[in-house]
Amino acid sequence: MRFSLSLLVLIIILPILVILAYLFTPSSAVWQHLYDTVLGTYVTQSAILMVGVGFGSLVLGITSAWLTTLCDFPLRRFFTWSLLLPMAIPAYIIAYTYTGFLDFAGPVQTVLRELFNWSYGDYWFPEVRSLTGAVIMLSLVLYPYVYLLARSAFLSQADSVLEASQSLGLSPWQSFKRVSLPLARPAIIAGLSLVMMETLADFGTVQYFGVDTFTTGIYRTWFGLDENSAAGQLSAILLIFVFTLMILERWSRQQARYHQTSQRVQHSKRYTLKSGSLFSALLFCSLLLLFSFLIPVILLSHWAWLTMDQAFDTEFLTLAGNSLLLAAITAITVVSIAVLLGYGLRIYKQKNFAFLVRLSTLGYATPGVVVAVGVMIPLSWIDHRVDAFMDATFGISTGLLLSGTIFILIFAYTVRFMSVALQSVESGLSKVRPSLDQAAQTLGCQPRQVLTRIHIPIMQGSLLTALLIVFVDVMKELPATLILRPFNFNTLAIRAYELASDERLMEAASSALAIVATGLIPVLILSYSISKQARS
Amino acid sequence: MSQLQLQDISIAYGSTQIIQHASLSMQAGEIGCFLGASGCGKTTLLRAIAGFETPTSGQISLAGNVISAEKTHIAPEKRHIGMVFQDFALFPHLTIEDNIGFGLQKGRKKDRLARIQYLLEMIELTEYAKQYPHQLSGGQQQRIALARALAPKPQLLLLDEPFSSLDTETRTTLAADVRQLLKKEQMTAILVTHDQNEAFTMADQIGVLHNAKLLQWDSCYELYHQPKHAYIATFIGEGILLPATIKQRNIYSALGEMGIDHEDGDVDLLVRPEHLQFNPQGSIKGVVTGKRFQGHEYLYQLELTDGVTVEAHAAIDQIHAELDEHVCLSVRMNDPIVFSR
Amino acid sequence: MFIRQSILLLLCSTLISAAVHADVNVYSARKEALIKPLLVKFTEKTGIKVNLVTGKADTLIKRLEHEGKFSPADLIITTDAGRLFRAKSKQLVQPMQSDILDALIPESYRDPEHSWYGLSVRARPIIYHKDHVKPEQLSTYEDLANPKWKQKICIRSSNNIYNQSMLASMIAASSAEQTEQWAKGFVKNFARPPKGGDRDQVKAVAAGLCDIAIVNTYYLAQMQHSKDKMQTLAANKVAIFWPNQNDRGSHVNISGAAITTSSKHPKEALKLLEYLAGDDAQSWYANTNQEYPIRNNIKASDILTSWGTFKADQLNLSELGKRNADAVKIMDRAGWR
Repeated sequence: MRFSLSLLVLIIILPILVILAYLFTPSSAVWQHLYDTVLGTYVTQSAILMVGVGFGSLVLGITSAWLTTLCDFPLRRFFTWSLLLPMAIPAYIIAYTYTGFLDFAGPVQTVLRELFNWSYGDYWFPEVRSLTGAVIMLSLVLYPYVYLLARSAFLSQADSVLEASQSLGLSPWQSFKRVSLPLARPAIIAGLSLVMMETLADFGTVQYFGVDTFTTGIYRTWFGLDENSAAGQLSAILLIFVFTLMILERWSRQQARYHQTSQRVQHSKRYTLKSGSLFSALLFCSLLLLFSFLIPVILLSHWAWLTMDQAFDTEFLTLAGNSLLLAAITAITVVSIAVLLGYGLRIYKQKNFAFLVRLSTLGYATPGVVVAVGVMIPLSWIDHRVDAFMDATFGISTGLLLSGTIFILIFAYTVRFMSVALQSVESGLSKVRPSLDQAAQTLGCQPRQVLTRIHIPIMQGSLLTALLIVFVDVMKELPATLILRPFNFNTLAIRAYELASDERLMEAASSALAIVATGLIPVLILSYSISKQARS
Repeated sequence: MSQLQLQDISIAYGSTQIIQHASLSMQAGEIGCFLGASGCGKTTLLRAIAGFETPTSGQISLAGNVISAEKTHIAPEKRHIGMVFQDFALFPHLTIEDNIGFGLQKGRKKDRLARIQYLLEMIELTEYAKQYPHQLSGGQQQRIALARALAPKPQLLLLDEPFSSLDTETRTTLAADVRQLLKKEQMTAILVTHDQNEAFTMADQIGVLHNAKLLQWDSCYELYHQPKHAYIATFIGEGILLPATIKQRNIYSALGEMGIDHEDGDVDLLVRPEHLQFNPQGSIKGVVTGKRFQGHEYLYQLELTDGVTVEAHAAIDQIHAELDEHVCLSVRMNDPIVFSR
Repeated sequence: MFIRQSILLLLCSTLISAAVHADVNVYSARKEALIKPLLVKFTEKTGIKVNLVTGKADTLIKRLEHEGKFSPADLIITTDAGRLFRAKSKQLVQPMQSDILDALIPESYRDPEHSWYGLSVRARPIIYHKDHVKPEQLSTYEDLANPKWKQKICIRSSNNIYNQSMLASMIAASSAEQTEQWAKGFVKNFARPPKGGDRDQVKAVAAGLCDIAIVNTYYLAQMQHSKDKMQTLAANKVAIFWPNQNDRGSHVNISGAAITTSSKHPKEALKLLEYLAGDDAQSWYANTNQEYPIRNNIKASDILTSWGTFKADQLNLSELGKRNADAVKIMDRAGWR
């Protein structure tokens, strides 16, 4: 069991190891060129992007989570679930829509010009396609990760703790700052780390906005300059950076591991907001929903309506089917593996194994293109070896068994999204007290039975969350799909991307909308289970 | 043949010794107890018996079979040892009856249901069968945890601080109930606790642990009256150690001179409150420094003339000494207990 | 559990790859919408099934490289000659023997060693705002580095292959040093940091953000054709200027194709290639995607015809590939994002 688990982890981190191995290849002459010209830009732009998006999603996510869990105001129920909706929108799609909406030639500016009879240079208008724009776009669609985790952390805080803080004379704001927030910190940091990883891995948005980040730099070096080893080394540096961040994150969480001191968790009481604060709360939630979800969806719907005759053909159904199937298979695979690994971590408290598992979560912050290359190299190597072996021993040529199939695609997704599933599974597992494992063991359960009879039923909720997040992520995934997919296998994301990158935003709208819509199904289920959990 | 035998068990985490050379043996049907302050290693020893810790050396046998030795480590799930956890560890996703039936995997369904029914009746919670753990009170949960552990008829039952999360009142009644129940089931059991009353209520044999050592494994009576270690003398019951010197079968201390069968040297003399009586004719003089009401009697703290403090009981109707009052005491000690320094 | 799933997946994927076998397999950098209809017609006509994967040329080449001799691909289609050159220099494509292709396709639009053939021509001229610029002010690409255009030029990012190839053609026409000199001056004239695609540059010119831009013609033509009123409006505010008519001609590039070295069905692949160079396909490029046909005897679309004829750079396009790396580095050094 331990051996096969370790083997499993090794397989999953193989692509990452392949990338890291580039560190040991001799550095090429192009390094000097990169260093002299573009490397500084890559690093600073990426840093600004990360800090900006991190800050943005923290502010949006925590505020909305706090308002909807601990305060009472009209429409609170509605916002509770609707604020999750932006999760269904891929960053590159919200970027396409806002570009079409706000660009110089877009409807907003045109109307302004017509209204005031301005022409270019007469007025200042923020540029969407800029670093700031990228920060805003990414924050708008990534804040739900913080919202989701902060929300469940706030919910699990016992009433009595908040009552205690109130009885000690703290105002709602003070008790938020001094009690709720510090207690929720581990969850918030977990959410933030997801946001950071998504940001680092983002390719579609920054590329479309012409922001040169580390990721676009890697892509350019790898494919444009065709400098494998320099690109591999850049990727490896990125991986090491991410790994350091991850270690810091775990460390900070371990510094602040709080356990509930009270069992009573009912949110019968919320702060009732009045006049000014009520208005601000409503305004905040409404604007957030408007900008992160309503505007993009309305725009996409409008464009899809305009191009409807060509958009919704029979192929559209095939694409949607492919996307859903791929997402479903991947979600189940990834979550199953995550359960095995999470459980392995729990029962084998071995440093080496834990390190490998940590390493396996690196994929999430790895740009899809890098994962694609990392997957392609070992799998095609294996294919060639297997063929050579089979040819030599049996005279059969097996050709490509893994490359160019759905398998390689799912493998890439697994590498890419393991972290998401593992985070969820681990947080679910951590809620199962170790004494339950031991109780089950003393009642004759093998470790495997403990997993199936105790952990899986207890952490159903977390598993559902993991399944859904992976599902949505696969629906949205673009670069790896683009590079690795087999013949005649397209997804909605690919169609949307092809049209958008061909600057046919309107035609891309129907597929984009479909991604958003399919992404909405799991998000709505998640929202529903959350509002149900809030009620019970 | 003993039901459980520990031979020279040591447990260490890295260089930290948790348990050193613990040995004991228990007969079938006996209830044992590991007693000690927190951090003494009692829970670790219990967990080693359950199989959750691996001893660094020594051997554990259960009903004649070695379950843990140098190269043997039977997995917990194969030891047939039941355990009741401090937090009860009831499975939140299962009903009461499913919790109790959890360990009953084998056998016919009819038999399993009968066993569950029997246990539910025994713990008097039949009407809660279909409810979930969180709907029940702490005491009820405790009984379910016990029933669940008993269900597969384990060869040994371990109880890890089973009453610590309950309020004092429930605790005492429940301890007596549990003992009765275990006796009825003829269950061999070991309890871990830091509470002497609990230990005395429940256990036939008690092992006192201190600083990673199992100091003494004996009945309550022996522990109180024949403590083999200074720590036990003061830990079990009330009592203080007075510095004393033995010379030629006489012991000299603040209490004066007494005869003793012990070799010469400096020792500590165990003085329990019942050894001292208020007696106007007594030769020992002291001042009342403290006084504690205990229902039918007072427990006095007295400072003797040479500065040592001792304790003595006095029935309510017997003596009324106020703070700072000077009193006289006499000693009655048939068999003085001393510990070499 | 995992093992069982993997086996299942493997089975699925083998089924999928098994279905692939008897057909022509195409890796295409042309977007699906811009190639699939032709492939469907080809299948209707010949009964040969075509399987398609689209993607960026660079990544498709990388994929070919990794798959090596087992690659299922028979044909690779790119939207730029430079990438075909790269595929050739990595020995991923093979020379072919086709008198038909040699007869149909002009020499500068094919590989001297018959490793690849162009299928459509894409011109990249200057466009200008009709109200702000007079065509007399414009002359050559080289002139755009002139300080008189300060703050007046829009162009997309240097990551874009069309720009890389344009620069490569300038290196071929002069030298790396001169081109770098030019690039530095050119970048100084940018009205904004490069962003968006070619259509965005057209929109920016139309909106007055800049006066001139360099774009591929089919984008402009498609905008004129668009259902989006904003796009037609924008397209109508600009006009095309054909630069360098007095010397080497305006920069052109091709979309083209090559048969892979690993091809299992080179005959069928060649058939497809010949079909793509045939009359039907050529008119389709012209009328659906507003590209210039590769053959002189096929009529361009009405819009393209309305823009008049022009002298195209006669440089053999394999030169674009040879000088690609230099071009990219020059743009990096010039600060062209």
